[in-house]
Amino acid sequence: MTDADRITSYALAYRWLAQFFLAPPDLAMLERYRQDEGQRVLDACETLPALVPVARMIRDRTAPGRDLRAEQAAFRKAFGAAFDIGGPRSAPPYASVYLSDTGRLYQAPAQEMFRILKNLHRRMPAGINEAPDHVSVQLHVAAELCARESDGQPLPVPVCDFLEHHLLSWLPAFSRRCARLRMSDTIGVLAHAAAALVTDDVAQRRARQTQGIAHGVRSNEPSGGARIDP
Amino acid sequence: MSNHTTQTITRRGVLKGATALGALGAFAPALLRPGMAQAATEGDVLTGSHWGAFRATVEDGVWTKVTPWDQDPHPSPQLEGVMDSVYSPSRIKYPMVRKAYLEGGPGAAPEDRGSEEFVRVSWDEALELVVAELRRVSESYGPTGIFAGSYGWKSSGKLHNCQALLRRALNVGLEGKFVNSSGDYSTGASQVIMPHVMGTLEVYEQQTVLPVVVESTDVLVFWAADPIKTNQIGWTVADHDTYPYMEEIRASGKRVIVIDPVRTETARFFDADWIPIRPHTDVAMMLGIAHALYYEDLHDQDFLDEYTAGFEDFLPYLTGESDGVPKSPEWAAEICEVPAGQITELARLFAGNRTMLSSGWSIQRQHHGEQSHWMLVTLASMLGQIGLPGGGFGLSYHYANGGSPSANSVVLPGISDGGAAVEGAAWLTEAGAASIPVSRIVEMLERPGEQFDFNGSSVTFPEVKMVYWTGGNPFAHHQDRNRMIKAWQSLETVVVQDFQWTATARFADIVLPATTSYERNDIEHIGDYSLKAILGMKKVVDPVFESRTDFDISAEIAERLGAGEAFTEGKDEMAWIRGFYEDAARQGPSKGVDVPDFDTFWEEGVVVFDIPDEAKQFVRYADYRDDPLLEPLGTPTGKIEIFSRNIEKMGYDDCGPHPMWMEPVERLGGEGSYPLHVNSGHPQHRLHSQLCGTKLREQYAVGGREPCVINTEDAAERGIADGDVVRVFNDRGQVLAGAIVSDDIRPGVLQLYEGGWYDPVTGGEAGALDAYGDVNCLTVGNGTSKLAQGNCGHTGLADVEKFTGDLPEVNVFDAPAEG
Repeated sequence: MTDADRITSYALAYRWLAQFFLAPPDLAMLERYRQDEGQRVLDACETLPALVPVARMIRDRTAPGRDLRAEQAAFRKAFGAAFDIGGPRSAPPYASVYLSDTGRLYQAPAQEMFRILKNLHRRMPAGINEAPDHVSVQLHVAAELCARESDGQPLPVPVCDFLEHHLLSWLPAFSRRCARLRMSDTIGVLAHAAAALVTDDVAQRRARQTQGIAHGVRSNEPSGGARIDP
Repeated sequence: MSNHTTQTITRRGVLKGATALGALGAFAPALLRPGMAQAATEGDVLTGSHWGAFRATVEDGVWTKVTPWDQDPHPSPQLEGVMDSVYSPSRIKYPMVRKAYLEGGPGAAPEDRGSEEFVRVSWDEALELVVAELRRVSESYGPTGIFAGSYGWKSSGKLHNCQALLRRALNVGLEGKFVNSSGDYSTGASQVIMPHVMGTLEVYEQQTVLPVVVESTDVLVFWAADPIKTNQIGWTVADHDTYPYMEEIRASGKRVIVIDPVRTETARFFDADWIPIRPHTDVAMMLGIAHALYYEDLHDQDFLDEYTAGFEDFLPYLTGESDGVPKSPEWAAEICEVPAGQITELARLFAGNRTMLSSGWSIQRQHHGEQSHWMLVTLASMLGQIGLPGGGFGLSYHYANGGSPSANSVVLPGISDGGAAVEGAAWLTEAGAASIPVSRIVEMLERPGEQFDFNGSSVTFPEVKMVYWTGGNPFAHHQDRNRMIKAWQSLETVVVQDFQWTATARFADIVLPATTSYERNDIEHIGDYSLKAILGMKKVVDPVFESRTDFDISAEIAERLGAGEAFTEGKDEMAWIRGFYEDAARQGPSKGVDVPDFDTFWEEGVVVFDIPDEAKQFVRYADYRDDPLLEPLGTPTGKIEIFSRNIEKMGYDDCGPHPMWMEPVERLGGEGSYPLHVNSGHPQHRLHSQLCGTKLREQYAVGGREPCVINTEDAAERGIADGDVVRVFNDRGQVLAGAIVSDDIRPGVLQLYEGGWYDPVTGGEAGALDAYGDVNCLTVGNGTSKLAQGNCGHTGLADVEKFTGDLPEVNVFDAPAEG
C-alpha cells in the first residue's frame, strides 16, 4: 500500500467509524451488511487491524438467522445508554468531558474544534446538533485532514498533531469508560476501535517521519511536528 | 469550476475507489459540509438573568466569561454558576421518552417513573406523542384532565415565559381545557390573608423606600428576613439596588435586630442583635410584645381607632378575657423561648422609636402561616407608625430588592396566556377550566372529586390524568417528597420541558429539551421594583444539542393542535420582542420619558431610566394615613382589618377572624415526636434548586452533599463532628447531608437549605435514602389552613445521626443514572 493509499484508507475508516457514535445503525443498514456489498465493506475493514473487532461484531450480528430487528434494538439500547442521556453509567462522547477539570460540556476542546472547523471552512450539516468536540465530528475532521493531505492541500493543523492532541488525548479514557458500560460488547468495541485506529495511524506516521521514508504524495506534515496554530 | 471544487471532487474520487477500503465509500458518508462554522456571536454580549445583568464573552462559539453589568452596584457571585449551568453534564440533549411509556403508551408502569431508562426520539415523534396525549386526555377525561398550572421560577424574559406559553398553546389549541393553579409557593398564605387585612397582596408591593429608612428609621427589625442573602436574585433581572442602602444603614449605626433561629447573613452584615427565637413560634412572641404594649399603655389607640377595624374584638383574646389565657410576655416566653423581660424591652424599644418591622416569608410557609403576617400588621398597627417615614411594616424588603426607589420607566408587556391571565400578576390567574391553589397538587392527585375549602369557597379537586410541567421543579419545591412520588403514580402521562435533568424530569414520561435563556433572544426589565432599565436579553450562544426555545416548542404544539396562527399571531421571536418594546415605548410621551426606537435600543442593548427625587421619598401608606376617607384600603371596611368579618363568616376551625396563636401540627416544644426542627431556608449560593448543578456547589457542599448546620450541643450529644456525613430522618423521609457544627444556629434546630437536588439511592422508590440532601423529603405536605391552602415548607421535625453505612455516591448532577 502506498502512503497515499494508506492515508486514504484511514480517511475512509475514520468516516466509517464516526457514524456509529452519532446514531445506531438502522435496520436498512444492518440488512445491507448482510448483503454482498456489506460483506465486502466488512472484508475491507478487516484489512485494518483496529477495525477487525468491529467488523467481526457486525458480521456476527448480521449473520443469516439473526433477528435484525432485535439486533437493531440492541444497538439502539446500547447507544442510548451510552450517549443519549449522560450520567454516571454513561460514556459522554465529548472531549470536553474528559479534558476539562469540571467534566463539563463545551470547554476548551470544543473551542479548539470550532476554530479548526472554521479554518477548514467546514460546518456540521443542518439537523446534526452536536458539540464540535463530539468524537464523530473529530473523526470526520481527521478524515477531512487526511483527504486534504492526500490532495496536497494546505492544512490548518498537521494531521498527526490533530490526531494526538485532539483525539488521543481523550479517546483512551473514553474507551475505558465505554468498557465499563453494561452493554460494553457494542459501544466498548467501537470506542476501543476508535482509539486503536488513531493510535495505529499516528504510530505509522511517526514511524515514517522517524525513518525518513519518502511519502508517496506530497505531505503537509511538518517534519518537526510543530503545531501550526489554527 | 473553482479550484476548491475540483480538489473536492478529486478527493472524493480517491475515497471511493483507490484503495481496498474503497468499498467503504457507500457505507461511510461524509458529514461535514462546505461553509464557515458560525456562532451566535463572538466577543461580548449584554444579557440578563434572575441573578442580574451581565456581559457574556464568547470565544470560538463557547461562552467563556461573565462580567457583571457595570451599573450593577452589587453583583451576585452566583453569576458564575449561570454560565456553568449552560454546559452542565445534566443538560437534556434530545427529546426523550420513558421506555415503558414508549412501548406501552399512557399509564404504562407509572411505578417505574424515576428509575426506568429513557429512549431518544425525534422532535417530531415527541411532539406527536404530546399532542396526541393532550387530545386523548381531553376527550377521555373532559376539560379538567390536563394539569397545566405549571409553576416555578421560570427564566427571566417577557417572551420565553414558558408557563404562559404552555397555557397559551392550550388556550388557543385546546379551548382552555386544562387545570390551572393559583398563588405560589413563596407567599401562599400571605397573598390570601393580606387582601383581607390590607386590601392588597402586600408581599409584592413597593415598600417605604430605603432612602427613607436610612433617614428616618431608628430601629430596623428583620423578622425571619435575610435580605443580604435573598436580594441576590430577582423575578425579572435583579438590580441589587438595595445593597448600597444597606451599607448606609450599617454605617449609620442604627439599631438592627434579627429575629431568627439562625444567625443570618443579614445578622452578620449588620452585626445585629440576634434573637434566636424557637422556630414556628413567631406569632406567640408578637402577641407577647402586643400584650406588653397594651398593658404598658404604649400602644397608639388613636391610630387603632382611625385606621383599623376590629381591635376591640381582638383585645379580649390578647388579654385572655375570651379564653382565659393572657398572651403576656411570660406566656409567650414559654412558647418562643425568648425571655419575657426581653419581649417587654422590645415592646418599649419599638414604641419609643421609629421602628420598621420587616418580615420575610418563611413564617407564613408554616402550618397556620396566615397568622404570622396578620399578627405582624396588628403589632405594627398598635405601634401606630404605619404610613410614617421609616415606620410600620414591610413584607418585601428581602425580595427582589424591594425598597429600591422606582424609576420613571415605561413598562413592558409580555406574552399573554391567550386566556384570562391577570395582567401584571400572572401567578394569580384563574384561567383554565379549573384551578387549584398551587401547592395542593399532591392532594389533587390523592383526592380527585373530593371537596376542599379555600378562601371562603368550596372547591372540588379535578381528576387530572396528565401533567405538563415547564419552568419549574416540583420535585424540589414541593413538600413531603415520598408522598409526592406515590401521588405521581396516579398520572397516566407526565410531560416535562426543561433544559436539565431535574428530579422532575427524571419522573417524567416525555422529556422535551428547552434552551436556557442564553440560547435565545428576549427582553426584560432590570429591577422588579425599581424598573430602572429595559434590557435586551440577547442570545449568547446557539442552542446546544437539540434544545429548542420555549416559544418554538409551544408554537409547534399549538400548530399541531390546529391553532398555530392564533398562537404566533404571525410573529417570530424578534417580532414579538420588538412589539413588546414598541408597546412600552408608546407610554413614553405621557410619562415624559424619551425612549429610543427599537433598533437603537437593540443595538445599545439597554435603556436606563431616571429615578426621580420624589421616588426616593416614597412612604408606603402615607396617602392612607393622610386621608383615610379619600384613600381607603381595599378591604371591606376600607381600614386595616385586625378583625375580619369575611373570615369570620367562613367559620374555619384553623383560621379565626383575628390573628391568634394556633398550635401547628408539629413544632419544638409542641406536637411531634422528633427532637429537632428542620429549618429549610433559602440557599446562599443558588436560587431554590437552580444552579445546584453548577460549580457553585464546590463552595458549600460538605462531603459532596448539601450542608446541614447543627448546633454544637446537638452535635456533641450525637457524636457528630464538622464534616461528617449525617443522616437526617423522620417518618416522612431520610436524607444524607454534610455536617457543619456551629453556634450560629440555636440548639434544637438543624438548617438544611431548600433546593438541594433529590437523589434517591434507589430511583423512583418512595422512602429511599436521598444521597444529596433534598430537605423536602422531611417537610410537611399539608396546607397552611382552609383559608389560604399555602404550603408548610418550614414545618417539620426530624432527628440526625452520624451516617456509618456505605456511603452512596451522589449521582444527580450528571444525568439520570438509569441511562
